Amino acid sequence: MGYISKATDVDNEKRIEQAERQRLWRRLLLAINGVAYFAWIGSQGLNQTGLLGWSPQEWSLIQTLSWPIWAISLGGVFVQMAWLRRNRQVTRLIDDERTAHVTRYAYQGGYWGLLLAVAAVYAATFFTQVDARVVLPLLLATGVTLNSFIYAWLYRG
Amino acid sequence: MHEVRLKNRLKDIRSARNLTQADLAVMAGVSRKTINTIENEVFVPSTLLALKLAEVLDCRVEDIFYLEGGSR
Repeated sequence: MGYISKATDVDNEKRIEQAERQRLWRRLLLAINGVAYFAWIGSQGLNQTGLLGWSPQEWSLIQTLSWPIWAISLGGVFVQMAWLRRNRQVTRLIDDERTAHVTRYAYQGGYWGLLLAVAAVYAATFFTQVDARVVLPLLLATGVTLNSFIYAWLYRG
Repeated sequence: MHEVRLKNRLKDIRSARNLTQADLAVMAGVSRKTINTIENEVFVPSTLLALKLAEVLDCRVEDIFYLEGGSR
């Protein structure tokens, strides 16, 4: 059994712990990024509907608060990418073929989710007047957020 | 025609070598979750990873993976 080395047990555990910490960070950052993006862009559409009975000032406050959160979480994603580039041993324990599998699912889920959302908007045009200022930000936010959420969900464990 | 399923003995072979999932994950260069999902037959590995697992466990791919069911 030439390939099996018992001397690496502690290192293995340490690397796996590092990898799992990074995996948790990635999921957290993506989930925060998705929520913040929806709050920032999606609320620009919801703002027009008068939904929830919130005033334009309240919607404006949500947008003002959510875009820095989105920007910071995106920065966090880039920082993590840079860290992972310097730590290849940990990276290969995170970005393996199962990760590629999850990424494909996330893109497919995002594609079908967006397609359904567009179909729903199209169907709505038969019954009511659809305002582009409402639906376009919501469609954009849905397309971006869904990918992040599906990835974060499938990437658990 | 019956459905053919890919089964594996990865957990038995790994345990026989006193390796944890973490050890095998690091040796094969994949995540612990990947090893876990292969052992639970949730995730089907690529040929490349199957060969890599056989290599690090010092056995043949057929010792780890086998087909169950199906008609000939």
